[in-house]
Parts: sequence; structure tokens; C-alpha cells
Amino acid sequence: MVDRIAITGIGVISALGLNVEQNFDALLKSQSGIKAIRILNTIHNGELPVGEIPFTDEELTQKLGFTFNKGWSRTSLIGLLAAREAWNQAKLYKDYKSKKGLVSATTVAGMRRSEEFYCDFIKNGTGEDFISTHDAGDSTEKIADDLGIKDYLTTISTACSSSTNSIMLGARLLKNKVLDKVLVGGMDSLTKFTLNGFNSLMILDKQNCRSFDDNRAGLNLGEGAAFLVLERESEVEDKAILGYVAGYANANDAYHQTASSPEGKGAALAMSKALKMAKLKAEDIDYINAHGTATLNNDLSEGLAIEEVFGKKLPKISSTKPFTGHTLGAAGVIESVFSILALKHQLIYPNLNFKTQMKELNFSPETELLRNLKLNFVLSNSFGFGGNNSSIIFGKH
Amino acid sequence: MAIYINGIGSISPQETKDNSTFLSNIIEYTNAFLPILEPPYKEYIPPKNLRRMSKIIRNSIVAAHISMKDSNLEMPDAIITGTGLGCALDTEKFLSNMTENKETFLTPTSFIQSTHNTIGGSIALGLACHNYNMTYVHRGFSFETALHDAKMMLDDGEIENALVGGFDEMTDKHIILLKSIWSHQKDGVSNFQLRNPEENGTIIGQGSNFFVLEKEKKLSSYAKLLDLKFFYKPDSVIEIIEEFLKNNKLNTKNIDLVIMGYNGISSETEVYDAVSDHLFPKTTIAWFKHLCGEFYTASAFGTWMAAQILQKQYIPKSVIYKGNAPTKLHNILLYNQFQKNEHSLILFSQC
Amino acid sequence: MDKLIQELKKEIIEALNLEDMEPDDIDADEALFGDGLGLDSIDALELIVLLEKNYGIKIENPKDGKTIFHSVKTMANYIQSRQK
Repeated sequence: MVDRIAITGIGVISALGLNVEQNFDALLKSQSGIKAIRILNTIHNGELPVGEIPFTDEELTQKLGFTFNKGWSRTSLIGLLAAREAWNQAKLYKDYKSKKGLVSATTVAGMRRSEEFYCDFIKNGTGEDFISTHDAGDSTEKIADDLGIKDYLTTISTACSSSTNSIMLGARLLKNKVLDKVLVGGMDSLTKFTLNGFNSLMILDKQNCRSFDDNRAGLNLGEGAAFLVLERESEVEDKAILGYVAGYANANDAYHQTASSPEGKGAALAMSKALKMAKLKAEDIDYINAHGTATLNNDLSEGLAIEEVFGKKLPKISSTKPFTGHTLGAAGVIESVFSILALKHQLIYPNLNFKTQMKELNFSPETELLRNLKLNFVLSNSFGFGGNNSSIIFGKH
Repeated sequence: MAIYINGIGSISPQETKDNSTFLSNIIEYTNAFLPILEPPYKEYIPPKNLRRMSKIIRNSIVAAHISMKDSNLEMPDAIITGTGLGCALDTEKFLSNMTENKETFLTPTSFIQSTHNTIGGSIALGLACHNYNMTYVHRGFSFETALHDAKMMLDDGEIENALVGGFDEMTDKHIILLKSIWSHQKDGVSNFQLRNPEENGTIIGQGSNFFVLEKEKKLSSYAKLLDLKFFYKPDSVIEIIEEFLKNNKLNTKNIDLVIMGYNGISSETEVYDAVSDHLFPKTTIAWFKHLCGEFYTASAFGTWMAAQILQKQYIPKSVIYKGNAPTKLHNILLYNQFQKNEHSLILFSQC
Repeated sequence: MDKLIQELKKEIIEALNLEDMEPDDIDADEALFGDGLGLDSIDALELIVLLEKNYGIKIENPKDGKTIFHSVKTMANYIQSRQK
């Protein structure tokens, strides 16, 4: 009898809200969090809409219940908020006997502080110590210290697939009994670095993004964090199971440093391998929460890959990036939380801003919130630079 | 199930590119920073691809290539990498440009190369490898996580082989930044003086070290990877080491050589000395950071060294920290720590 | 025009880090992308910035790049036409 990987805690923070309830509420009301930039100090303010968490670092610190300290990057603050929510739900504060670990993910890490202080430091040789919070391990260790996790820590950084990969590693650690309980997820905050970086690639839309639309013009950046708590099903005590990790896979497109192959080879491989691992057929998937960034390249590549894997019996498809923006390293796990909620509440989210089907594809995404469905399995895609393609399948409890 | 290190590739501040030799000539440096000995890149990478690649990408591709050729592996089932800082130079380039040009006239090349998994992605691209590809970026656990992930997947039967690498690059500006928080040696002091207690402080290093792991023994096999463990802010390192060996049906007397990450920082030297005195009073102790410097994935260089020692059954005098060369070299334990928070143990044995 | 073409060749070599290449190695009519010099979509973006930074010419739609950046000659022609 296979001991399934159960999900016993979820936490999320994004432009949609500070916790699961607020995020879910916005999804149900089709209320996008993508707006004009309010907090990030950039010349692109007023030009590029983003999915920004509408709280300053000081306000986020207050919500965490400590005094504002410049030694905490915004990435760490939002990460900890989401981590605590998941950890609390899984009742792990009082667990002293299990082997507990943390697999986190980030791409921007402490860059929000580094970009503020770097040039001054290099010019004058003094100033704020940002180098201690710059690297990807910093936010992970801050969360681990706060929650008392010591048995296993690591951080994944594979661009936009990072936090889906966290979930995969967490599942592997449980299956190999390296750990008994594992907190998996990731976080990324908005930075000038990424905003300007994506802008230099000319793939940012000046309007709210239109995933899978024939007239799409690029993505909107977002920020956020999310975590799941995973446990072996046989060892779950005194708490609700929210869903299962049924299968997953990582494959590499190996086509170009940033662009996806026209036919979406890596994407198709990741989805097929995830199905194989889950011992499912394509028609068993009821809903795909797509990567759907709204770039010309991704949506075509992903769309064709979906058609190839799912053939004539396509499941319902939508991207929730028009709600949150593209949260980079956090996207995989934020959208996993949404997928788990979809299974729990038996609904599918609308793909906002969609008007015209892409000429090259045979499908349109769902444009209305669909309720009272019979969903058993949801697949979530996250595809990153470096051809890093990950797909994960969640099962209903 | 046995896992064999069947190929190694190292680009470092020492002459490590050629696997047939082993530290026959040690290079002395007198800055608190060790530069890489650059290989002839054009022999490994087509000029068309080379132009966009920063040094860390080039060095890692070369090291990966050497390790794969060493083991005759054409296509890895997994490419798993670890790095503490990733592409530091490209990150700096984009950051400097962005700030100096006030967010205008920005070109994308340095941005796209600043993502930590650029190297793993570039290796896959060069091989047209569509298989599992992962990058871990967690300080002194970066390489260890990569190695552990590979081992789990090999043990599970998910893969038959893996290309695993640990790499970091240091730039002029990063050195300034790290020197502001790391205790470091003064400039003008030789790396050979790293263990001198009067010269408290480390030297900053860098390097790219790659390994091919497989389940079958080959002619090229260097060593068996028996086990590894990495632990965070431990209460008692000594207890953890004893338990680790016990779980591998070994005790301290079965270890013929302990390689330790002595790095010249006195507070860390104390921890290594305590382990050496309590657990391995009669065992030969070796060290490596006087050769490669201190950096997030330095344990990958230590792993390279362990593999070479076990295959060649020889310890160069220059790496002996304490004791005499042992009479037999069957089991080696590598113990490393990074900034006192991240500790790791890697256990190797002769094939 | 010849002077502009020579300048452009130098700037392209620098911007795209075409090591070991001299301006004379690039034929003004040679295709820059695809088979000729073998540049790719990232290089196209670099050239867009080059045009803006060095010549004050902004290209809003990267798709226009295909015709403008066909060769050094077409780039030079475009610059001259925008500077009138």
C-alpha cells in the first residue's frame, strides 16, 4: 500500500491578500491584484502594472509581531508570513518528536536590499551590510530559526520553476524517510532588478496581462510567497488532509537560455513524466493551472505542449497569473496552493482578460469561475529560464 | 547500494584540470584571494557560444566536460548543481548598469545569466539533455544538497547516473563585500600560512568541481560515496559524527583519513581541533582550503581531493595537517563547516 | 555612410562580445541572424539598446527588428532615415 504524500498545511501571501482566505476570496470574486506600482521605488512607476503586496516592509514586519529591522529583506518577511500560516495549520509548533525540514525557493533572494545599498557600498566602502542577506540561503534560515526547524534545510533556485521543485524535493525526502514533516515552498519580492531585467527582454505588458490571448503582449511581474506542509499519510494525526501530491516531474527544454522551444518539448516531457509517475492517464486530469505568463513565447509553447500531451480530450485550463502577476520563484507554490483549493472546493478559476483564442491553438482557457465540479486531479505547470520545466499533480482528499 | 564516483573535473586556483596528476605542484598566492587557473576554453566550447559566457559558466562547463569524458558518460540522467552565489559577475554587471544608467538603456544578457541555474541550463543546452536539472543555492549546503539529491535518486532507481557539480566565482567587488563580514587574512600573507594562528582569518577562494556518479564500478572509478549528512547549528558535532559513523557500521578507528575544512578562522579552528582531539587523536588529518580558499561550495574541492586520494592511494605532503601519511587508505571522512552554521559530513571508501 | 557602417561594425562587436572579430571580418551585406553571423533573439535586444543609446532611436516593437537588423547595411540605412 503506497503511503501517499499528504498536504496538511497551506499558507500564501500575494497581491490578492495576506493569507489563504483573502487570496481565495479575491479568486472567487475575479478581483485581480495587478495594479500600478505603489511601493517599489522605480522610474517605471505608472508605466508597468504589477502584482504588488500592498504593504511596506515596516507594515509586514508589524504583522509578524517584531520591530522593523533593516536586516530582514522583503523576501524574508513575506516568506515568513506564509510559512507561519502553513506551519500553524499543520499544528507543528508543538511537534518535538518528528524530523522536520524546510525546502524553500527564491530567485531574487535579498536583492531588494542589495539594489538599494550596493552602489553606495562599492563607491564608499561602507554602508548597510546587505551582503549578509543577499544570498538565497538567508531567507530560508530566517524562517527555519523562527519555526525551530533544524533537521534539514535547503533552498532551490531554478528561476520560475523553483518552488514547484521545492515540493518535489520535499516529497522525495519524505519517501526516503529522511524527514517526517517538511515545509516546502518559496518566495520572491518585487525588485528593480527583475522589473528592469524583464523589461530589457521586452516581455512586460503595459496593460494587465492576457494569458493565452491572441493579442497578448507579455507578462506582469508580481511578488508573493507560499508554503505547504507535507507528511506521509499514515502518520497524519489530529489534523485535516487538504489534498495529496500525486505525481511530479522535472525536465529540461535544452533549447535556449530563456526562450522555450516552439513545440514546447520540455513542457510536454514534464507533463508526460508527471502523469507517468502518478500512474494516471491524460484524461484523468480535470484542470490544468497553466504557467500561462502571457508572453508570446510561453503561451504558444505551453499551449502546443498541452495539446500534444492531452490530445483531443483537453481538460479545463486557466492561468491565474492575471490575478497575481508572475511571482517568479514563488509562482509554482502559490499556484499549487490555488490548485489545492480548487480541488478542495471543486471549482476552477477564470483566466482573466481573455478575449481572442490564439490562432495556433485549438483551445481557449476558461473565462468564468466554474463551481460544483467533479475534480479529482489538478496539474500545475511552472517553466523557468534555463529550460527548467516542472509539472506537479495534486489529488483530492 | 554502492554509488561510485567515476569521473571528476576540477577548475580551481591549483593545477587540477589534468586528472592524471594530483597536486604535484602547489601554487602559492599572497593575496587574501585565490584566482582560478583558467583552462583553454576554446578547446571545450565553440567560440560562438563562448562569447556570452562569463567565467563561472565557462569554468563549470569545462569541469563538467572533463568529468564526463573521464567516466565515458555521454548523456547524464540528471544534472544537479550547487552554488552559494551563482553568477556573481553577471549579477553585478546588471546591478551596476541599472543603477548607473538610472534604469535605462539596459541590455538583457547579464540579466538572463544572473539566474542561479544558468550553469545547469547551459550544460543541458550543450548536451541537448532533457533530463532532470536542479540547482541548489544554500550557502554551505549548496553542494551537499546536490550530492544528496543525486544519491537519493540513484538509491531509488530513479536514475542510473548523475552529473553533480559545486561552483562559485568571486569578483573584485564581491571580495570587498565579503571581506567586510568574513574574518580574512591580510594581503601579502601566503596561502601556505593559512593555518598560522597568528594570522587569524581566511582567504577567499573559488572553483568549479564536477563529478559523475554511477551505480556501476568502472576502470575510471575513483571512490565509493558511502553516505553524507549535513546539519544546521548543531548542539554537539562530536555526537553527530559518532552517530553518523555508527549508522554506517563504522567507528572512528575505521577512518584512515579525516579531511577537514580548516580555513584559518580561529573560532572554526577550535571546532575542528575539538573533533580531531576527541574523536581522531591518532588519525591523520588533511586539509584543503589553503589550496582552494574558503567559499560556499569549497567542500566540492574537498570531495575532489578525497576521490583523488582514494584512487591514487596517495596523500600529497602539502595537504597533511596533522600526523603522518597513514599505512592504509580505505575510508575517508570529509568534515566541513561554513560560517559555523552549516556543517557537513561526507563518507568515502576505496573501490 | 561608409563611416557609419564601420562605426556600427565596431559597436556590434563590442556590444555582442564577438571576441576575435575585427570590423573587416563582417561583410556589410552579410545576414546578421540565422546563417550569417549566427546572432539570436537576445542579440537582437542588445542591438535595440545599442540603437537607442548610441543613436537615440527607439524601437518599440521587437518584431520590427527583423528587417532593421537584417545586415549592417540595413541598420545603417535605418539610422540615416531616422536621423533626417
